[in-house]
Amino acid sequence: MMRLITMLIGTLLLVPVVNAEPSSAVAFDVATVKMLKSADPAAGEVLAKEIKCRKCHGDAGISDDEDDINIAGMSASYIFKQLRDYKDKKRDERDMYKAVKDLDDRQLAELAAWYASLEPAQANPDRIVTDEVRKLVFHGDPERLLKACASCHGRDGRGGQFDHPALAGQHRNYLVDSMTEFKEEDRENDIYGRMRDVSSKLTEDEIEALADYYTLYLQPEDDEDEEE
Amino acid sequence: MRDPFRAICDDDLERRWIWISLIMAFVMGGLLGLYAVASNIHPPSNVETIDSTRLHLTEEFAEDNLGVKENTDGSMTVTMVAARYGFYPPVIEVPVNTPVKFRVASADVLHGFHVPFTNAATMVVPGYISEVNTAFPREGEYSFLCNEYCGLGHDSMWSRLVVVPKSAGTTAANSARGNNS
Amino acid sequence: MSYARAASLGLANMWVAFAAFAVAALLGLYQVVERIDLIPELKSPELYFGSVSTHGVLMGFVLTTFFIVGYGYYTATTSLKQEIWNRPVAWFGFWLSLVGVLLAAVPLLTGNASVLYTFYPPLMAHPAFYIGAALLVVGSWFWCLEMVMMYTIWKKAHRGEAVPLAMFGTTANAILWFCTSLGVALEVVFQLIPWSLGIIDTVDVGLARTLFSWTLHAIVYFWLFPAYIALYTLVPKAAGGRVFSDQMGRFAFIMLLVFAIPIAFHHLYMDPFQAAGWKFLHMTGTFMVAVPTLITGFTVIASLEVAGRLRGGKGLFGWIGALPWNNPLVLAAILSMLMLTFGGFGGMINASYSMNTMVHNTQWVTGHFHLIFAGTSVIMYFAIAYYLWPKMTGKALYSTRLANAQLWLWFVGMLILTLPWHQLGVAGQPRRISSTPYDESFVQSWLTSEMLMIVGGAILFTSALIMVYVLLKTHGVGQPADNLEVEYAESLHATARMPRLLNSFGFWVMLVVVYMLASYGYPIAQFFILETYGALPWSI
Repeated sequence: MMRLITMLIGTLLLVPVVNAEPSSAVAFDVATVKMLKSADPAAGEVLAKEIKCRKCHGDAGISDDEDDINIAGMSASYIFKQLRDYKDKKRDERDMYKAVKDLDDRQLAELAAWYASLEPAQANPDRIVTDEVRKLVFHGDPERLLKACASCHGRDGRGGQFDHPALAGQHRNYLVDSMTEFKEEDRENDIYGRMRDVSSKLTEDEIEALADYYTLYLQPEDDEDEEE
Repeated sequence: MRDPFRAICDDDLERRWIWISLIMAFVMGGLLGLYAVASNIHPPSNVETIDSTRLHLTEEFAEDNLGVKENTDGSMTVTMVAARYGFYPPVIEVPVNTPVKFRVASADVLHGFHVPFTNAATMVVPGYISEVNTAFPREGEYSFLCNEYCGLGHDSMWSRLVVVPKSAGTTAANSARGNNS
Repeated sequence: MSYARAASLGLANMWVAFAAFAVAALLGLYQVVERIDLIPELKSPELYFGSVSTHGVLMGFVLTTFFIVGYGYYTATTSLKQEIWNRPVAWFGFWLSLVGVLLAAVPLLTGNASVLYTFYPPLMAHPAFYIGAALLVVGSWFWCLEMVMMYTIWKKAHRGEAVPLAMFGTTANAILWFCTSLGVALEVVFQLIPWSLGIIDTVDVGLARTLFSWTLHAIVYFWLFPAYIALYTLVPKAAGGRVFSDQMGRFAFIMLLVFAIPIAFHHLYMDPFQAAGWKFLHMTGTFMVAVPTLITGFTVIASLEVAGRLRGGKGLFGWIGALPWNNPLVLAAILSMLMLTFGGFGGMINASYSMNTMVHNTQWVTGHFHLIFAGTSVIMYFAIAYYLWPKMTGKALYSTRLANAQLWLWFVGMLILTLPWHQLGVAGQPRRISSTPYDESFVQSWLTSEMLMIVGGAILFTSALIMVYVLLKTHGVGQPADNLEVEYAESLHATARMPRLLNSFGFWVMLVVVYMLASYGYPIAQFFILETYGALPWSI
């Protein structure tokens, strides 16, 4: 009897695995990379005005809402992938889906090029850096098979090639939310589950501490003064 | 029979040494050839191509196809991806004394993997699939290291191989993301 | 005749070599200290991998090429007693190579070419790096031309005579270098430069690695040849004896020329894009190429024994003590052969097809090539420099005692550095890591060896400084040198007539071409037959 139940449960567990589609339809192949390289940021600026990205993302890609993402200066490839994932519903977010659902790849690339050309937010030089956090960022944790954050996100937190995003200067709450979404598997567009694997091993305290490490700390008013 | 080396060497002792050197070379090469042919021991050399720039969209290296699978003859196939900077799935569990076939591909640059103290090792070259056939005679936890420079995060690229006693079922522990423990 | 013009060519090239060496030695010290967590402030992957790339290029491309070129020019002139063939061409080659080095140095030192000595596509460096490397190699080809021309002119003027052994070896080396450097030249010119300039989108990494392997093995024989030439033609005389067998020297040089290049898949044993059959074929050749080294070992030791007994040594081993250990050439020869024994053993493991799996890309490999190259070959470079500097500068060696002390330090330091290095490889440590964030128990087992290596590195760095110091002082201050002639060893047995095959290269070069076609023909062609997928550029 127990064996039968185990088999049934096992089969049920297998179903999502067997039927799973790729976590993202975006592949950085020759065609995609060429398209990203040739995308015109000026056209992206025009498009961004048209679809009113500034409502959430600010005039210069730095959001006044602490829960929202700063997209200024992120790599064009990363922004493109997220936009495409929103459009393909690989990343679940109604507002973003509505914003991009009618855009084609070239337009998404132009938007990405525009935001990539903007000045990124900087990490707060007075931010909190504990020894534990520094260890996680630069050394990882062998026991949990946690690799150093810096290995993919760069020692300066400015990210790596294609889909390794910059973290430095990001809004703290947004970072915490993103990691939590990965941890709870509400967000699944990381190819091969790289971030889901990492975040599942981090405790909530560690996620908060890491967010503090990477964050921007500016009052919204300072924000507008700087960027205008 | 006249020693052919007389034409270039007058000294008896030296000629004897030339023969010894040649014989040593032949013996070593011959032994390796014997092992290669008799025990089918070869370095990984399967010559198969694949488009690494679209790896997660291929059939064999799709996300839900990674991990350990048992074949009908009882052997294991481990499908893995090497991508900066990790191996996926990160924890591989295989039974002891069972033939294991690793199928590994790179999603980006050159990598390599080596499980120290075993002969599971290969280069992982973008554009090509690597295949390693081996078996693990000792139970335990092993490190699964990237041993080829792949960029500034290379040091962090390592994960784990666990060799467990032969028993029923390996599926649940080796889902595509392998983060059950 | 005056060798002054050859001397200026020799000195110019060799000074570039040793200047590069000094910088690279400092980087080596940094690397061995950085890796273990002794001084956390030093930890930096950017610095480390930039250093490894620079150190590798300086030691493996600059020190070597320029030294060998300089030594070649001086050997050619003094052994043939002939002027340099076309001095403008010789100097043009020098300047071209030097410009290449300086061009490549800029991205290397600014962290834009941390792609290591082996280039490693699809990691991509700044185009200036690849262009600089190409210029360095092409500049050296002018030296190859010079050596072949001087050799040809001499043979025409001395029909039927045996080419002096030192020049025979130098010419063999020049031919070897030209043939083997074609591989990396093809990779750089047709793949890496256009790719880094954005002219082509992708590179086939399998093809790139195959082309690089073409150069990668025989380049170490390019480096080893001058050491062997000195062992055969300078050391026996310096020891007070004769070379045991001139003919065996030629035989060894020819075997190296034929077997050095078409065997290089032992560098690709673990790569998936070449079939096992080809790797096996290359393995057989790899064992054959051990034979000329074994022969050289015999001949050189026999020559030393002759010298030792002439100096009064008695009994089975008494001749060893009777040798002039205070002569830098002799001392270096003995230490070099000792390191060759250790390093050669390691090499046999690496060559062993399937057994290579256990050591591939572990620190064993790094330990091996430091021992065999930085040990066996480079210690002879020092001794050759000590011998030639007085002749080229006209000033006596600043201090023979200091020179000998430096050689001993190099030997001891090298053993302390490389023997634990081999152990680290067997204990599982991978190559090219700037830190060790792995499982604790694993990492703990490495600590002792790593500490020992720092001691070795410090000794080597000191030795490097002393070496450059002695050369500088000799060139600068110095008493006049008493003997400006290069004294080449005479053969123990007079050769009535040198067999044509031991006195010419035509047949052997044809053999190399045929062998190359057989062992590299299809393995390269396959990349144009199979459907392959190229790789896009990746930053470090």
